Amino acid sequence: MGDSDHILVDRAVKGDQKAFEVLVRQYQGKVAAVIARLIGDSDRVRDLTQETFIKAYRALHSFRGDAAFYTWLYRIATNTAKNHLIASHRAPLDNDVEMDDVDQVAPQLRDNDTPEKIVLQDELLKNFELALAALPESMKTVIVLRDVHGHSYEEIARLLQCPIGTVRSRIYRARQEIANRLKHYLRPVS
Amino acid sequence: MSCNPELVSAFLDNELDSVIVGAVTEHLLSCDDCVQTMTRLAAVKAVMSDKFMVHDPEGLTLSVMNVVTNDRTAPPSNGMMSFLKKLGI
Repeated sequence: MGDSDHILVDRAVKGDQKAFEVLVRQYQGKVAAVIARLIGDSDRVRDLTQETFIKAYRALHSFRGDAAFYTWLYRIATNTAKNHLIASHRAPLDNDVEMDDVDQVAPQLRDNDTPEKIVLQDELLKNFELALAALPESMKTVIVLRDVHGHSYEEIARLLQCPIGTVRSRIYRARQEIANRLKHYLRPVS
Repeated sequence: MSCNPELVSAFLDNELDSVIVGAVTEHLLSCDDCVQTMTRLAAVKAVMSDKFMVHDPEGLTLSVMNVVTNDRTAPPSNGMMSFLKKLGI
């Protein structure tokens, strides 16, 4: 487990809810993405992401720290999605995700994804692609190396022959630029 | 420690030096601006790596924390667990 996760989990177990909130903020996007890949129902993704974190909070005292916190959370998220699929008699959309004991109970359906929701996700991804394309090449390279290819800052610095501080700064500025262009989607739902 | 969004971004990547990770974590626990920055940057990180983004991530966090705050099945603290073990429960 990363040092920060360790600190935050320890504090949350001792009753510091702000520490748990930081974990929620840190991981809710990744958890939602895992659930979305499995169920494809964008309305339920939000509910099931919330359910995942509530289950995690209630079980936090049983987390022993021998695996990464996110690995533990990921398992809760896939089980939550699995239970949802079983309850609604559907099969997971993404067979690559570990779902070894899910019955293939129905054809792969996206019956709850209305055209409006699909258009909204498509529109978001289109705007994201535009935001990424609009970045200066130096920023685009580092953020793709980090978030798409998973390279460490040190590896990126070595590949691009620049200081780690420059890598860190470009990654932050790239994310901030994209966030500014996607601010419509980051605002409260009206 | 003052606000430093670059360090918040590096925090999300688990790329902070061990000497400052504690200070940044403590800062996040006490600075609303920085945790909101972290939420936005984490949403961008998710869309970069997973091509999915939660709409209104701030609202989702607040929904979770609203339930957690009012949760009657809150996790017992380490101290409580030790106490129960001592009692053989």
